[in-house]
Amino acid sequence: MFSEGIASRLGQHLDRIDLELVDSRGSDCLAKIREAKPAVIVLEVNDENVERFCPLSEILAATPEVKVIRLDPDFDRIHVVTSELRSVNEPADLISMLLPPG
Amino acid sequence: MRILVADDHSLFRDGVVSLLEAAGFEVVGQVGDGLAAVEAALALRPDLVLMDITMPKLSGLEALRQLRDEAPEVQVVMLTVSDQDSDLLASIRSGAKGYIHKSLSAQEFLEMISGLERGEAAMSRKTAARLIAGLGSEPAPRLDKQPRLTPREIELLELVADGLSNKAIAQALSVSENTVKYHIRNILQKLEAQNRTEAVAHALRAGLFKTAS
Repeated sequence: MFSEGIASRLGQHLDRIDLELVDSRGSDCLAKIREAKPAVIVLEVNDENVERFCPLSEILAATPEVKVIRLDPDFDRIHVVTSELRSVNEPADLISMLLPPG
Repeated sequence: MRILVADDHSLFRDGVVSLLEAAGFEVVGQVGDGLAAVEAALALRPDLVLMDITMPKLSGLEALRQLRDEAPEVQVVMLTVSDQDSDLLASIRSGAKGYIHKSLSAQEFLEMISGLERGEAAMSRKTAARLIAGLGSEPAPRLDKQPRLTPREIELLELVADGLSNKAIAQALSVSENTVKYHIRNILQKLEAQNRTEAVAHALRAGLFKTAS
């Protein structure tokens, strides 16, 4: 009910949001996410099906540039997970990612 | 149907409001605590309050009890994550017209809200079974002190136990829906039950009839 309520609310902004719903109860959940190529994915923290069929680690592996918004209705919190994928040519590349530029 | 939504989780509440409005219900207000729920219900006089149980300032159960005393015509349905039988039983005993778990799908939720308009209790079959089991485990009331139901009322209550709606019962007994409502009111009064499910549980416990199974 929670996820559907959020989808219903987002559906009121279709002029600005290209909304696609993916059922987390299906084993093809991850494939559908990959196919949709979203810029943002909204997930419910308490949805056991997400953990089962499309866990965060696999979502990030499938869509490495995506922003994941995890909604926690119990605590009224929104956890934003951003991701970017970079290639490493040499170990120094890792150091440069960790340290601030300067 | 005019609805007030009371839930301290704003994300969830907003989603519920959106679902209700999309389904054509009129949401007259939304509040985030039990005290505000009572105040808003008394001011707005909605047909239905969807009430979370755990809320700040005043619990949903206490808000329900206050509304039962001060605005008995306002129906209250609990909308909760609580699986505790004690919350379920306390809600029904305090006059709630239903008990909806937040894990239900939007379609199930909206069907239950629509069912209220047909005089149905807003709860899943699973919740109804828990309620009956909970009530059934309590000591049986003294039969010699309990008003007797007429054969017609027992017949009707058996159909209620089978899950039939007022309309279906009216068809089965070849009477009007208003007659069915009249009988049900009498049954609830005689058995001192808050709703149909509780009446069935009382009747089963008192041995007025037995289930088919």
